Amino acid sequence: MIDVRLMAAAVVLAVGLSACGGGGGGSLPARSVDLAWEANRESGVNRAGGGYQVSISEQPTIDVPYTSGPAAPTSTAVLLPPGNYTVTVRAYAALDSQGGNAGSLSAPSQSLTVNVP
Amino acid sequence: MKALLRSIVAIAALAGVALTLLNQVAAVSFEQIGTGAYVAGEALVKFKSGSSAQDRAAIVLARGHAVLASLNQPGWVRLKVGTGQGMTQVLAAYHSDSSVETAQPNYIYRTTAVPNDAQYGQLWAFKNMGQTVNNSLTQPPASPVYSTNNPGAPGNDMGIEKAWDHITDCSSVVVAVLDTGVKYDQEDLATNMWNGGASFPNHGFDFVNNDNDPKDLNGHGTHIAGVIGASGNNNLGATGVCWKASIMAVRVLDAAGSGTTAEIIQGINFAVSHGAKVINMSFGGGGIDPALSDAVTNAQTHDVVIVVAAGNDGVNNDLSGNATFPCNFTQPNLICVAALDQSYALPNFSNWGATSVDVGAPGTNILSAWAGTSAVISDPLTSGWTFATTTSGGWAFGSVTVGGTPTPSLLDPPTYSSGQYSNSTDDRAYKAFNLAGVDAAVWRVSAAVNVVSGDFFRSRYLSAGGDPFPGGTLVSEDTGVATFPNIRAVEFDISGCISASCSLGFQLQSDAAQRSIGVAITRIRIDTLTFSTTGYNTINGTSMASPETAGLATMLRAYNPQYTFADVVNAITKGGRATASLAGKTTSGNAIDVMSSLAYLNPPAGLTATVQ
Repeated sequence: MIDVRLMAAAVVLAVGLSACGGGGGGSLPARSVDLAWEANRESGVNRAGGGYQVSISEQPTIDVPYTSGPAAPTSTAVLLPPGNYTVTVRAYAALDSQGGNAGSLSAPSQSLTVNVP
Repeated sequence: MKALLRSIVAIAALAGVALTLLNQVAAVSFEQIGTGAYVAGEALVKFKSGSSAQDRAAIVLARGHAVLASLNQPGWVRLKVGTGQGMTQVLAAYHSDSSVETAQPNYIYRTTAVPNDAQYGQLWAFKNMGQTVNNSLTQPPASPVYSTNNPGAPGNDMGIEKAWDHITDCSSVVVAVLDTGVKYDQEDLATNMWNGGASFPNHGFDFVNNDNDPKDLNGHGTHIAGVIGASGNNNLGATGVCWKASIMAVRVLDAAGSGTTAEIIQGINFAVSHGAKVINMSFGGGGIDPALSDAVTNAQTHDVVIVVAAGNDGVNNDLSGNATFPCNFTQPNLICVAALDQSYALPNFSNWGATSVDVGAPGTNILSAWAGTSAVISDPLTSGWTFATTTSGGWAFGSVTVGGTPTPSLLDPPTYSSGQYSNSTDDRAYKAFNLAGVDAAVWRVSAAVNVVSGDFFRSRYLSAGGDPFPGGTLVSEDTGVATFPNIRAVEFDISGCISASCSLGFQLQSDAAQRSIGVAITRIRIDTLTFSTTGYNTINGTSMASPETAGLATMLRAYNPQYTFADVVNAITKGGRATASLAGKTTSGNAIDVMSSLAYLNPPAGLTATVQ
């Protein structure tokens, strides 16, 4: 198991096999990658209509919505073929800056570069 | 209100789902069903006129839905459709049915939250419609208002009305007003004061007199409190940023508006230790003050936001000679606020600073609560004074030129400024003033003072009248000073002199050694305050911009109970509105914007990945 913690703007993890560029991993199997982050403290993120969007380079955006309880989930798992991936997370909430419900999206978190060997 | 809040939650839920879908696969377009908020799990369907009630029921039942009600409009029924299906799919299913004429969400309409307070139309900071702010509620009555950009450009306001649709009650967060005290029984504040329990029955503490009655002997602190949390929608006076609040009154400034490091740091620490999470400090001074800095840091340690005024000298605080504290402190829990006028220009009095001042907020012609009725007693300095001397000469009526204008003055010696006062003299001048019935009084004196070391210029008052030397209360004593040709303005709290014959006096006492040119008193004024619970005032200053921001900080913490001081600061500074007059003059370039800050989301932190 390889653990990566973001300490700066971008951390490149290179473990085991040398990485292939930008996703796609030849014949090697996809690996499960657990992503986690700290909970946002905005109420709107942690109630109905709130949650997080996880962006992974060359992958569909993953929605991690609030479902129940005191807070929206702060982790998700994704299967990724071998390669280097840039990951960011944004928080979202229902309320927009005009007082309507068009939604608000945070700036992206500091990006994390993940190598899937 | 609870019903309204429940509706808002429901709206939020639907909007959030729509947002998610749009960002994920774009499979459902929210625009297809309009952008309005609607009731979750409900739809309205209009059946064609030929369909029977049985047909309608069957169509609805087949989709797993239920009829909640038939509306008193032909063909329309209100359906319970559940929340498991997206609204677009639900509507598409009914649209495809030949018995259905149309279908739509059950949209939600709501009033915009605008309070009914009597003076709301004057509160341009909350709703700038290009209105002219008048002087109907200035103190002393009919004092002029700030004329530049009055009226201003519509739209330049705090964007607060939309936010009031979501939160008006900030009472879960204690906000401390460190100031001249608070008129805690003022009609717009009485219900919004902090509950200090049996220990603090008057909603705070007075560090000027060291008692638990922080009543306001000036008015400034009451105004600040009103800007933050005057009761909203009560048909009275003004409203604050928060309609409901928990305002802790901490008196650290006297009736003249002056306080000391010792009083202020005790006030900060009291507020922190008694649960305040936001502190407003609309005052400043010029000295580097490690003790005050330590108190700000103590607040930071306890996760307390401190909002302060930039200052009213019209200067750049970044320049070393202009540094103003606490504004120029660098602790991350401190927000320093410049003022903006009604067109969102920087008013001529507002300080600024690209590295020291953070945001701007409305600070001209701000109407808020006041501690009563203010009045001014001006003395012409031409009659009524008693002069006494132990030598010759002494005090006399005269005239000096101030700003090119001959100005009646009290002079000692009478030959001021060409002569010198006598050696070994005790010269006195005093006059009685009727202060009966007032609750507070401030004595303001403008004078040029030149006395050598060992000689003294003193000011005293005596409530019983007559000669206040030596039996009266000493309020100032100068020796070894030389202000000429400059005139120095000073002010003293003389609330202890309230009587029908309050005697105010000056003394020039010299020894046998060298002399100087003496004293010219060019202006004497007494500002009085008579308490009432219905007072209001329209005034200017960064002092007013600060509580607009402190009110926002309080609202943000009430809306987001998990917020830290850093979250609050981020939401205010980054959630503000870019404003040209603040670009390069504040750290953010932004004016505060309540709705934008309420919707602001911090970027998530602490992202980690674990490859299995």
